[in-house]
Amino acid sequence: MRSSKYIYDVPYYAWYRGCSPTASAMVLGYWDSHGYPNYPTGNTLIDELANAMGTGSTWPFDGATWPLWIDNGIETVAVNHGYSSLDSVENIWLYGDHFDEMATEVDAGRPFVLSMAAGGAAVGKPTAYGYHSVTGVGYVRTTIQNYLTIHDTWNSLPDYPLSEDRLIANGNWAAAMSDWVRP
Amino acid sequence: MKRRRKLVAIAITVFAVFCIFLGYYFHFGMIGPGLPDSINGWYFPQPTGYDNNGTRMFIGTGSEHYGMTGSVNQTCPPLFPALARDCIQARYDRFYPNNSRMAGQYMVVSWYFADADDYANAEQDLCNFLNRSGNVSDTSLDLRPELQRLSAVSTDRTRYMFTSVPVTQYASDATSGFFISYKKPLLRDRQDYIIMYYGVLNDSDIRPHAPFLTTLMVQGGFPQNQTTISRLLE
Repeated sequence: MRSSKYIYDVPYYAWYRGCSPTASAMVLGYWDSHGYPNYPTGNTLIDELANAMGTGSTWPFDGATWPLWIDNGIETVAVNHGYSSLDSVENIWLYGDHFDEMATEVDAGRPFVLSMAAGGAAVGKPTAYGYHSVTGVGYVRTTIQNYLTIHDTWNSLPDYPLSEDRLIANGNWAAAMSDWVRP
Repeated sequence: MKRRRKLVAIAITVFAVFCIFLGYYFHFGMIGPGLPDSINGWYFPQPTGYDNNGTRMFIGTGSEHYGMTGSVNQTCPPLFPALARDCIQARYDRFYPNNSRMAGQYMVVSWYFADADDYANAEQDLCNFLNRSGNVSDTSLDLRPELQRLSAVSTDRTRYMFTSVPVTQYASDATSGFFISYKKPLLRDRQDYIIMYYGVLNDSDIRPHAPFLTTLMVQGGFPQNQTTISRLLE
């Protein structure tokens, strides 16, 4: 048995300044075209998020984000653009299976940020993600394995064309953290 | 005695909190920067579509005049010296509108280096080869016409803060085109060096092909920081 769900219209942004602000920008970019049009797009939005969530800009933290600040950064940018009701909620997962929680967000039509510690590679791709934030946009359930559909911010052709969804097996990471974004 | 017990309890609590923090830190630490080891192909023209087999990329904006199809693979082009182990090349065919006759055959090449010395040596070798085999000159490409044309189908790739790029122009019978190099385009402390080439095959006159090469260039995007973009040996 196989079932899947996908959120259309989530933009594909290429990595800029850091994976966490880039992944978060894709979530807000989605809401920008779904009833919350005040957000800027692209690198302007990523800049605002990177500043708000304290993404590092000097060695050794260049491009890195403290994961506890991701949700606060998203909320700050939302408030700055007139959306004080936006709620960003973080969940830290050190163990256990949380696929159903992610599927529930997708079923509700809400893309989210997934931050992985020691993340593995996407299906059919050679490079492991490591410590990386991606945007969750869908899921695929099969009897053997569940997968998340993600936008991963990478665009190294030919392995990683930017506007291509990737699948990552559920739990293909040592630990993970999600940031739900509920406008 | 009571005070001492209280101090011990506080110390144990602080230590426990510290251990929890350490456990969390080693599980997570900071997230990012979140980049693959090699970013070769990062500035390759992004296809606007694929054919039914998914093998031929299409690059264009709906106008047949600008439509190009191509395929990409991870090999080095024989037209140039072997500069790097990590290279990608693609060939694109452009046809006349409403006609199956080929109007131009283009190539894009990306050489990637993760070491400054390797990059400097390769750049020097490449320049020596170019000077021996053709005509080399420094110029700048005006991106404005292409950006204006693409704004009709705007993507974030077209929203640049700058409107021209410095390039090294090369002309020979086998291929003519533009070289551009990106030094540390993403992070100041990350060793990424890329040489890109956008050229036409079998034509020493680059002028009629320049708009299409610019299309390919813009379709691949540029580093946000203009100071990371330069001509060869600059």
